[in-house]
Parts: sequence; structure tokens; C-alpha cells
Amino acid sequence: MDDFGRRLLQRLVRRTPAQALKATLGKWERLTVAQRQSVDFTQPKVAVMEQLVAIFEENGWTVKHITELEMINYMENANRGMWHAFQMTDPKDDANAVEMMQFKEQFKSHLSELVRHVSVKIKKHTDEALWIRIAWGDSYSPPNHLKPTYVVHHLQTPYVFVTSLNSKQKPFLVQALILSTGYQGIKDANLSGQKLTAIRDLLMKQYQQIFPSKYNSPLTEKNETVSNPHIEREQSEHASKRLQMACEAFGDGIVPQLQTAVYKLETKFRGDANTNRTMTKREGPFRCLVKFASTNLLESFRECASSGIASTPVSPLLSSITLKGRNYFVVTENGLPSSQT
Amino acid sequence: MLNMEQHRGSAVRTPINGVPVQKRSKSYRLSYGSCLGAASRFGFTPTLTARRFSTTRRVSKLHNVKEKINADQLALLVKMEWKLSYVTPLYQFRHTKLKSYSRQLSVFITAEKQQGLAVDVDRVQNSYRVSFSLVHGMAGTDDAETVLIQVHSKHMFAKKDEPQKLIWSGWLTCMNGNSDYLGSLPKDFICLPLFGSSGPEDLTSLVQSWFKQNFDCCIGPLEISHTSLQWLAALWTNCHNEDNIQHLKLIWSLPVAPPLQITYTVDPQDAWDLWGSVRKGSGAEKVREEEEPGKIIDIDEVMSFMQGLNSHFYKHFRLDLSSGSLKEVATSLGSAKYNGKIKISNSKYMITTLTLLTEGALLKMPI
Amino acid sequence: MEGASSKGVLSHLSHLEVVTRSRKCEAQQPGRVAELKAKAAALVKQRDQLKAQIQIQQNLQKLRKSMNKHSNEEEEEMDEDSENSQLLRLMARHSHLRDLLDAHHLIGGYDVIKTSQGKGMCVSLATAYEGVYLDTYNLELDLKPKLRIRRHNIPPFIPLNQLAEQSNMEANIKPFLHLLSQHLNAFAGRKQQLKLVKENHKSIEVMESNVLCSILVLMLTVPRQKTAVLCTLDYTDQTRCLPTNARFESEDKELLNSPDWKKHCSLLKDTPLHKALTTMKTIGSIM
Repeated sequence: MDDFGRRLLQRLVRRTPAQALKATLGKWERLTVAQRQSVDFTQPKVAVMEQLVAIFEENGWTVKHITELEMINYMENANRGMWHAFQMTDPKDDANAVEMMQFKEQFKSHLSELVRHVSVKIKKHTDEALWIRIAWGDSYSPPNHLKPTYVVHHLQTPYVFVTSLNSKQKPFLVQALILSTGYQGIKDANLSGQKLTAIRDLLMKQYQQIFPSKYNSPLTEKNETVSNPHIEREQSEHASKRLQMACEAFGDGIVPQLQTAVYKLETKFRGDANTNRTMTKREGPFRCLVKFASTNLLESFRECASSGIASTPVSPLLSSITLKGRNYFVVTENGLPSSQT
Repeated sequence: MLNMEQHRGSAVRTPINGVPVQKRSKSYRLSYGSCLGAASRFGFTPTLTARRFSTTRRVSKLHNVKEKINADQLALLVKMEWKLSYVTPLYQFRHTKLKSYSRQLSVFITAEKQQGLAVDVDRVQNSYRVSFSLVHGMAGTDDAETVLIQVHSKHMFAKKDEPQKLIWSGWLTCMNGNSDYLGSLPKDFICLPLFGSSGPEDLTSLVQSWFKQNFDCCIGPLEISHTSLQWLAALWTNCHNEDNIQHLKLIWSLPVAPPLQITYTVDPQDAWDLWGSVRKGSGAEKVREEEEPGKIIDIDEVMSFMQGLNSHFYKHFRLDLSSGSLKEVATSLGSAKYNGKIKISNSKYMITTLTLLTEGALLKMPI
Repeated sequence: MEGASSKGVLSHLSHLEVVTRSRKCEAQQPGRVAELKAKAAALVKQRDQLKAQIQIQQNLQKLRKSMNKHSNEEEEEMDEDSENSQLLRLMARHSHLRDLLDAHHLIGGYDVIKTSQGKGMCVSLATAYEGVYLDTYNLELDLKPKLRIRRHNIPPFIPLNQLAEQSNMEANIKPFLHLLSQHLNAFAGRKQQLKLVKENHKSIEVMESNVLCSILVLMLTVPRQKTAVLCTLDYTDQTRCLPTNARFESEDKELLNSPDWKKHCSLLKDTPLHKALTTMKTIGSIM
């Protein structure tokens, strides 16, 4: 194995916890059972690394094989790096009929037409998602396997999730995607986060949403029983109504684990008109940037609304996160929903 | 209560300086709060109000702070983020004995560090050098002079000719402390209630225990309260017309599970305009006021400023910031955090900020 | 001694072999008996269960009939034990309501409720396949200022906006809901078929599928020769849960030209996938 292969493998070993590494090697079909069992994951990483290098050299495996391993590893541990969502627009009639083999071929050929040196690997995950690993090069340099871009796409959907893509590479990826999926345009979906699963679930609607219902919602049953029915009946009614509205806006049960939402506000000052007449009458916007952060943003918001820290009905700005599947917003005077004023 | 116990503990442990215990406990009764409480007996202010923050603040303009303070010292003060503590009055602290304190503290740290270390004693002994120095030109009329402490060290296995590096710094200050309180202290006590440190925490606690042992004082962590943070937001915004504050950043934390953190960053010009709109009196009057040496800011103005920011936020998100707590305030002039960390990036406004923090430290001292 | 030797050692040996063999059989017998007994017991148990189920069904039928006649009158016949009869009554009520719901859906009714004081509405669309209720999807719509989809939980591979445009939703919502319901039911049906194939036909490998379940590639195996046959199903019409196109690929061209396999092709186009595969299996075309 050459120096570069060694470096690539070393980086993979160093970045992955021992258990995850073991799981990755288990999923890799090239290793024999004996080879797999021969690696002792309890020893320090350096020693694990040497064992792996020996196995690789014995089999004459190269960079290509390491990237395979890296890809399996990434697919199993996707919640790393920063994922950005893109949305393709204007589907052609045949967009829904694209199948995997066809997409694979087209994507590879389109991208290698656009970029001189590029290495593309496509693999299908168990959830029908296509994983694409792209190592970019240019006319002068071979593909850089140390900084690959990962793209995840579910055929038949307009969404594409991308990590580690720089602005120089973006046009090429966009072009190749459009040409091979049967869409005519692509735009930033204004949704990003560290957890691929979260942004995927939000856009693919793979979480429990609550809708208004005629019947008593089972949500109310979750509420704790009230000790003093006379005094608190009304209150508990309010509470269950709040909970219903909170769940309608942010989902029920386990919600997609978003970590941030950012609003760039360029609206007129909206303080109290009585105490702050000068400001409310002022021309021009009151510019500010508001960033919400939590380990699970939607869960935090849901509790804000159900506990009354946030007034219900929930502000359209906040409910837009799930409604529009976005976590970055620029709010101007025109774009502000009328119910705000 | 906890602090009282700490004090008792330290009193038992430090019989070296031979101060009778009685005298010490007397000193504690004479704390900041009780002093102002005494004033209330003359019918000025009720005790409760006195225990609170000043409701008005004079924005002193010490533009010449740069000329007065030693440039290296000032550079250090402005460079670091400091972790704050409060310190009760120091018994028999002498500004004239700083050289001997330097020696004593070096020995103390070295001895403490040596415990449990089975290495070459000579090398370890050489590895810490402490220097106490005075910072001239900061103190107000009744204040004791600020003291700067620096600990230099050499890496354990460093070469002989390698210079020692600054590994820890700290200071004790009193900025425009309440003169009634300062005046009421017995002669043997020096009041430097605000302690800032920057460096490894084990060194901070060593320095603090040395102070506790030698000057019979109590030291405890000092948070920067919600109100102080609001004051700082207003005070810093108030400077925008002279020095661009770049942004006004407020970080709130809301008590839900999992906790929600809200970072609210306001454009400096818009923050300034809002601040202008809540200042009492019209713009024309303000210009006249400007000519006076000190400008008075009232707490009502601070509160309306915050109220304005909060209600603009509420009108958009229908989320009540006042149900959470303010955790951090930052502008290009500095940043302050609830957990007691402060960075003063612009020396021009250092005095104002330290005055506020001194007040906080005096209030935090146990009665 | 002599007699034995004269008849030959071999014949004696073979006699001994016969004796031991019969002994082995005797030893095997009890094991076999126990096995059969267990099977008989299991069958008896199953019979009893089926009998009980028939009994319940009959009771339910009876109850349902009497319910339809005079819904308010109390039933006196059922007094075996009160707990059971109460349960039965509930079951009868449940099946009755479900029939009503089915009928409601059958005549083109939707579950709709008004929201935000009549400014909006919420439609829920239930999907079902072969009498089994599957996922329910919801749509929240704004009625004013114009009819507009506000929120929904329909997966992105169902072209919701396209359907809305195509059916001119703003003018009339019913055709839109009908079309959407068709899409959703067809999707649910395809998904369910795939699930059944995976569950019941372990010898068939699903080579490719997609989230919309509109493309399906299966690997079939012909018994004996073990010839692999690739079966590709295209569900181009997404309002249907039967494929528009089915084709086989194999190295054995002759096999595919046989009348049996020609028939299989049309069978796959006309019959739900899991059923078609069962038929092919029983004929012996595939494993």
C-alpha cells in the first residue's frame, strides 16, 4: 500500500470509534470471517491500524478499496459533518420513472464529462437511498480522496442531501443531478443540520404529525390527571388545547432532531406602540438575526408552546420550520404573514 | 450561609497571623449591606433597596485611561477573558509589601504543586515565579489601588535557557466602591472586592487559598446577574456613537427540556436608535446633557430598552423571553457571561464596566 | 456348528442384518407415534379454535341482524356469561361501524372536519388493500382567501402539487381528492404486495425497488435446473397497483419462449404480485 493509501486508512481508523469500525468491517463483504476475527479492536488504534494495513497489503487492496470501506462507514454513521438539503424543481414527465441503473450510468457519465478527473461511487442503502461519493480532481490533479463530497438522494423525490461540497464543485454536481434525474432546476432548500436523518425525516414527512380531529385526541390522555377538578378543569382544558396546537405545529412523539433555526429579520420595529412610538413610526427595518439552538429544537419548541412560554396559536415563523421544511429564513416586511401585525 | 462556614473553616486553619477570632467576626458584620442598612436608619433608603443595584449610573469618560495605565498592564487586562470572584476585605494587606507577597506565593504554589509529585525537587522549585504589581491610574477617590498578579512558569522538561512563560494572571480591584461602605471599614482592612483570574483553575484555587490564609478573607464565585447583564447591554450600546459596537448580541436560555438557547443579534445602528428612543427627554436635551462631564443613565431606561427588544421579539415569535434568563451579552467592546466570565475589549469603557462589577461583588459578599 | 457352516456365513449375516433392522424400526416407532400424537393434538386445538371463531362469527351475525332491526332494544338471548357477551356486543358494534365507514368511502365520502372556525378544513384519506386498512394520510387546507394546501403528511414522491394542478383543485376539490386517494391507495397496495412477497416468498430475492414501489426487480429461480430468471415489473400508471409492464430475462431463452412463461407474464399483469408468485410456485415454474 502506498503512502496515500496508508494516510487514507489511518484517517478512517482514527475518526471512527472502535465499535463502529468493527461494525463497518463486518458489513464489508471483501473480508473473510477469519480476517475479520483476526483484528483485535480492544488494542490501541495504532495497533488496529497496523493489523488492517497488513490485511490490505496481503490482498493487494488499494485506495479504491479503502474508499469502499469509508463509504460503508459513512452510510452507517451519517450524523457527521454539515448536511445541506437541495430541492429539484420542474420535473419532466419521466422524472418519476427513473430507475437506479439508469441513474447510476447517467450520473457518472455526465459528471465525468463535466469534470476531467472525478471518481464517483454509488451505492444503495437499505432505506432505498442512493449514496454517492464523489472525489473531485481537475485538469491538473487527480481526484482528492481526502475531501470527498457525499450526496444522498431518494429516487422519485425532489430532495438531495449534500455534505462537504464547495462552491466551485456545486455547479457540476447540480448539472449532473438535473441531467440524470429528469428535473429542470434545483434550489437551496434552506435546511441544514448535522443529522442527516433529521433533515431527511422532516422533508420526507417521516415523523408523526398531528392533525385537527373531531374526536378527543389521545394527546390529552397523556396529560397528568388534575387533583382539583373544580378549579383546574378550565385550566386543563386550556393545557390540552395548547398541547394539541404544540403538536400540530411541531409533531408528536419522536420528532426530527434539528439543532438550529435561524431567522434574519428585516422587518419594521414591532415593539409596543404606546411606549415606543418613535421606534414603531421609524422608517426602515429593525435588522436582527435570531438563532434558536437546542439538542432537539422541535422538542424544545413543542414544550415552549405546551407550557405557555410560547403563546398559542404558534407563531407562523416557528411553525414554518415543519410546514416548509426549512431552518433558515429571511423575513422581510412583505414576506411576513399578515397575522403577525 | 455557606460562605460563613467557609470563613469559620479558614479561621481555624490559619492561626499564623494571630488575629483574634472575635475581631474577624466583627469585620463580617460590617459588610456592605449592613453598612447601607445603617444609612437607612437615618431615613434615606430602606435596607431592601440598598441591597439592590444602583438605579442610576454615571457614564464616566476616562478616555485618558490609556495615558494613565501602564501599556503592558492595560494590554493584558484587555486581552484576556476573566473569571470573576468576590473577595471580602483583606486583613492587613499592604500595598507596600508586594515584593514579599510575590516571594511567599511562589513558595506556596511550588510547595502545593510538589505534593504528590516524585520528581526532582530543584527543578520543580524553579518552575513557578509569581509577581505582584500595582496598576496605577485606575482607582477612584476612595478605592484601594488595583493589584495585578502574574504567575510565570517553565515547562517541566524545558531547556535551561528557555524563558518562563506567563501561565496564569489575576487581579484584585475596587472601582468606585461605595464610599460610605469603604469609609466604614476599620483601618486594618483593605477592600478589593473584585477578583479576576485567567489561567488553569488549579492555580486559581491555589492563589485564592493563599489569600484566604494570609489575609483572612472569603472568596467565592461571582456570577454576573441578569440585571448586570442588562446594564452592560445598555451601557455598551450607549457607546455606539463613539465606538462602533458592531453588533449587540444577547443570549437567552429558556427553561424547557431540552433547554432552548436563543441568540438575538441586533444591528448596531438599530440598537442605538432603540436606545435613543427610550432615553428620557428629547434629542435636543440630550445634546445639552452631552456637554456635561458625566451622563446619567437610569435603570428605567435600561428596562425599557430591554422591554423594547423583547417585545419586538415577541411580536415575531410569540415567545416570551422574560420567562427565560439572560446568559450572555456581547458587543465589540466586550462580552459578559452569567457564569462570571468577562472580557473587556476596549479600554475606554473598562472603568464603567469594572464599576458595575465592583458593585456586584460588594453585594455578593456574605453578611 | 457344522450345519451353520454348510449354509454359509453370508446367509447367516444377512439374517442377522434383517433382525437388527427390524429392531431399529421398533425403536423408531415410539418417536414417530409421539410426533403424530402431537400433530393430532395441534390439529384438534386448531379445530376447536376454528369452531370457536365460527361460533363468535355466528353470534356476531345474529347480533348485527338484531341491531339493524331494533337498535335500541336490549338483547336477552345472550346470557352465557356477561363479560363475553359484552365483548361480543362491542365487536359487533365495531364491525358494524367499520362497514358503515367502508360504505361511506365507497360512495365517495371523505373524512373532513372544519378547522380554525371554518377558515380551513382537514381531510383524512385512509388507504386499504385487500380489506386491510393501511396508512392514513391527512391534508390541512385553507379555504380563504383561496383553496390552498397548508399542511400534509403525504410523502414527497407522491406529486401532490402536480395532482392539484391537474385536477384543478382550486375550482373543485372533489376530483382532486379522488385522484389523490387513487394515488395513495395504489401506492399503499404496491407497498403491501412487496411486503407480502418479502414475508411469504423467501426464495425470491428482491433485487431492486424504490420508495414509490413503482419499479420492482425480482430474482426468480427455476427448480431443478436452478436457472435464474430476472423479473422486472414497471408500475408506470401510479394510480394502479398492478404493473403496466412485466418482463423476464434469463440466459435460457427457450424457457422464456415456452407457453407457460408467456402465461406467467400476463398473470403478473393481471394478478396481485404475491398471488401470482404463489400460482407460479404451485405450478412448479419457480422455487
